[in-house]
Amino acid sequence: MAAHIGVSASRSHKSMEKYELVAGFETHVELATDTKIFCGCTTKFGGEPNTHTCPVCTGMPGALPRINRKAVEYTIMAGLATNGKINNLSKMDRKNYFYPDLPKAYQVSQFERPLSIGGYIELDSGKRIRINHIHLEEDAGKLVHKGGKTYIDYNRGGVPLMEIVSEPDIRSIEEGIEYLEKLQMIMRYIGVSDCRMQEGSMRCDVNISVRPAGSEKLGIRSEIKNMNSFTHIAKAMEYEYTRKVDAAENGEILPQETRRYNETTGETEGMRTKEDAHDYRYFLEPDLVPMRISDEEIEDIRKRLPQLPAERIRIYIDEYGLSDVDAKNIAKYKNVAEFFEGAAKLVKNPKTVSNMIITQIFSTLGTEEEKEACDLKISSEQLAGLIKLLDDGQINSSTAKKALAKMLETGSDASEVIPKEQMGGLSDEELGALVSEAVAQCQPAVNDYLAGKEKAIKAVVGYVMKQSRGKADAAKAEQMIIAMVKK
Amino acid sequence: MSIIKKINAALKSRDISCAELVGKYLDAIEQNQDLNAYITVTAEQAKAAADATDKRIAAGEDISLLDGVPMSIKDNITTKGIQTTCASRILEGHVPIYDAFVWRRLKEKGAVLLGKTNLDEFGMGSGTENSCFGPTLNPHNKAHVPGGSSGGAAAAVAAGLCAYGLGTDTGGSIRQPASFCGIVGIKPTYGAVSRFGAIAYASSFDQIGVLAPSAEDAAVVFDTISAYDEADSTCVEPGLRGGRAVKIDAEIKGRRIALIKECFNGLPEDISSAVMSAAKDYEKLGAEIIEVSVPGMTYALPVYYILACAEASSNLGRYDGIRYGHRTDSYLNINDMIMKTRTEGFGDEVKRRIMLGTYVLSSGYYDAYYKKAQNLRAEITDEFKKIFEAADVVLAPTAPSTAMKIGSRDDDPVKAYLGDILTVPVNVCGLPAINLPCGADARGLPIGMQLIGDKFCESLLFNMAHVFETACPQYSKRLHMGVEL
Amino acid sequence: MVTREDVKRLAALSMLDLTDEQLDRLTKDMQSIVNFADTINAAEAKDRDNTGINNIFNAYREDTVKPSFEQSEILSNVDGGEDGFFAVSSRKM
Repeated sequence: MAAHIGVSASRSHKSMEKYELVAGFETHVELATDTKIFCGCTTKFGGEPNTHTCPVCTGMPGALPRINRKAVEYTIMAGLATNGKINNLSKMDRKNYFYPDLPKAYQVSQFERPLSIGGYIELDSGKRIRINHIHLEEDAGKLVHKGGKTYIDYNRGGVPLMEIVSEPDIRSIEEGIEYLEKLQMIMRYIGVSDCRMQEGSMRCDVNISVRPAGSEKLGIRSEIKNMNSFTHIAKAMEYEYTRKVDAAENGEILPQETRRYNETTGETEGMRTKEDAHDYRYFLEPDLVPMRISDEEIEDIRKRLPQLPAERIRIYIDEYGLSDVDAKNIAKYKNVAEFFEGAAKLVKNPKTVSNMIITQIFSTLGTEEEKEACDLKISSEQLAGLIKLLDDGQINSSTAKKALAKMLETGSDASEVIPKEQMGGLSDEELGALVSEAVAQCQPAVNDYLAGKEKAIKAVVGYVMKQSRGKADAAKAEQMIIAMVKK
Repeated sequence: MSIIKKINAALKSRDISCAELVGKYLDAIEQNQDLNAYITVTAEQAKAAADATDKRIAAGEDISLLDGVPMSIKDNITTKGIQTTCASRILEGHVPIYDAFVWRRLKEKGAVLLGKTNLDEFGMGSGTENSCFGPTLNPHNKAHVPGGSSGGAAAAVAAGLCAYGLGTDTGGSIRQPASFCGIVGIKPTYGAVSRFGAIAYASSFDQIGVLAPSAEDAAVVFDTISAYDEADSTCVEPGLRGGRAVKIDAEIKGRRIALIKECFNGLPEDISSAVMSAAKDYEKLGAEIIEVSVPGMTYALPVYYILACAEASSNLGRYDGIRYGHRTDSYLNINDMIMKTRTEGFGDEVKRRIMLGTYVLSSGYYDAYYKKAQNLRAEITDEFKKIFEAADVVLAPTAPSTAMKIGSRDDDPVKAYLGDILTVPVNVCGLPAINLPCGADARGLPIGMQLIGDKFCESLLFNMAHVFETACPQYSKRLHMGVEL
Repeated sequence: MVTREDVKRLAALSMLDLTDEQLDRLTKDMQSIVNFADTINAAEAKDRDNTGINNIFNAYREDTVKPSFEQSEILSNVDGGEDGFFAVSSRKM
């Protein structure tokens, strides 16, 4: 899975035999609500500094919070989508510390009774990375240090964040990246966040430690921050693992600390912040009241969740006959999956749909964002219409290819873009008759083929194509010829 | 006699214009500056509001009771465009950009704001001596404190420098100064009045309330400020408030009044006899007196200080000089700036309470102090609730003394805290309570008693208080200062 | 017993800068106050799930955008800030 990340495996094999990597993630996901968590200010990105603010999110004296129902609902959805248990009684707490980007000098978060407890993300291997809990909290403002001054913009202050804390179940960089990718896919699927690391709507901190292989005890961990992409995360994990293994080999004891990933050097650096200063003095937020969530409400939310990727992949493979790779590539994007399913249920062979999506439609939808959106000019029904023509033998596959390209461009139906002459292909009977004729007429080529010359079959196919004036479907004809001669 | 009703009648009958009335109040404030009741006097705004009232009257509008009535607001309640300091150096010059909900409501009714009244810094204190603007004097005897923390409001009402005032009560800060100044003071049920715009001291204790010359006045103002405000998550929706509406002049025959044994422990003779005498007056009016015991009451005071200071230590973290308020002149780095700003800006009592709050929340102490106090709070609340199965209201002294001399405070901060011993249980339980005068000590300093009700039973409290005032007017003696109608 | 070290630590946590004299005085005050707070040790109280004063729940707000305040208002208490930001010099001596 991490092959595309480019992590060097040079020294890892030997070390990994001796030292086990143990890691867990704390992932912050920015929720896609219209308003902030405690006030009606917009969460829209951009805008002049301090123009999406009010007394509540700038912590002015006397201002009070009121919690965004949608933020709570999204967090419940995330909990259900990761197999967690939703607490029927959940509370918000204050986490007290001083920092210029924190206007109240406390962050309203959840400590004692988060919205979701437990759960897991299942990797392809079947291994489950357990989730400790998911909680809801508020984001801080943005600091900019320039020219000996610190500038603060509170536009992002108060944006709702979901924090997903995993157990330290990860044992390799590959597992870690796969966990994050699946987490990201799920959050996008259920529509609670667009979860983009580069845009900051998904932020990951990794807790990593090493221990002698076979040991049950957890080693001393470090927390790594400041990674802006999965590549950074993988590099940081590798660097940190190596650093820790080296230390262990040298008998050096490293402290528990927070480190910063440096994207220029690819290394992690110690941060000069005092660890002991952080006594957060958590206590129940007295300006809010607790949330009581009934089992009925939870069930209602669960019913409204879209079918998740893992389930869809299973159905695509087991019921639609797609390959593992194809199933994953389609299920990865909810809108693509729905487009696929819309067409697949209308045609004889869903694989035709998946092939068209993967070979042609994905080229049109070039970027990740475009695939997410799957904003096509044609509908699933229109695609199904084209495929029906192909299945009925009215057109061949090369005609279908050209037609699809035109349809994607113009949004027209198949019948509107296919020239009359290319319509009305051969029925199976007609093709069968032609094939028989070709086999009879091209005996030398047939014999060559049966003798092992694979390419000889093309001559027979060529005969069929010529006789049908290009109407026959070459691939289909080839299949029929092979079937016939092998008998 | 309700001053609001008097003013309303006078304005309606054109005996006096609102402009003239407000002029009188502003003059009185000017003449009584030595009381130091006001931090900010809003003369221009007051005159403009008075003109608006006069226009309405001239246009033949039937003005509401509160229209044109000059009032004051404690300086820890936000008023847009008008300096709001909490009597603290750290908010000196601070001008809020929004109105507190209660002020918006009163403004809509045509209330005329005369100014912002003095208080103990951030509401922390019981004498209004902890103000960066100096102490307020008790109009009954200027060598004595008016009580606190709403001392400025109490003094202003008692001295006729406003018809009524808004205050806040976290541990007794409306009732005790009302008691020391011989006026009525109501602390509503927690959640009855929106705290949006009440600059927080202790979030689960703070309530905005009213100081006024009579129960009727307090009732009229309470009616307007107790509207539901969804901006405050802790404000209780009307449908969930319970409590039966009682007419203010309803008969009190058969009402059961409980006297709590523990309240009279160690009480000075003059106070306990004033309250007992009031109990007898109630009996004469047809009420039934019963005696109850609330052993948990002894813990109410430390529970209050632990929890209130914990919340305060967190609520006051925002004062860091970055977005508003005082910012220190010189510093080495941002952390240093924050430290110096807070050290320069906060007074000693505020610092003490922040430190105690930080202590009881800190790792290792949370369970023994904060958690234990929370559990005890629930116990005490349950004990009090039981009383209301057998009684309609509780009658108790408001303070264990009359107004003490200015500057007479002990070095030991705990001694000052003991003055809150009778008021604090009410805040711990979130109940409504009203102070009314019931006598005076040998020096003529007022003695007050409080009626405590079950949640959302303010109208019963107003009723019981009003009936007593009417039957025993001798206790509501007016000082001949300020404006008299 | 609250020690001078305790008070120093508390002051740091509370972002308060105390002189030695203030530290001494505050230590004395804190000792008295904490002794007073300790009186709750004698009380019995069963452990409860704290759900607030009035036992109300679910005070939600709908996810509808409301107009924000003007930048100038938000910055009005810091003399307009700088270019729309709250600005603090890293050092001012």
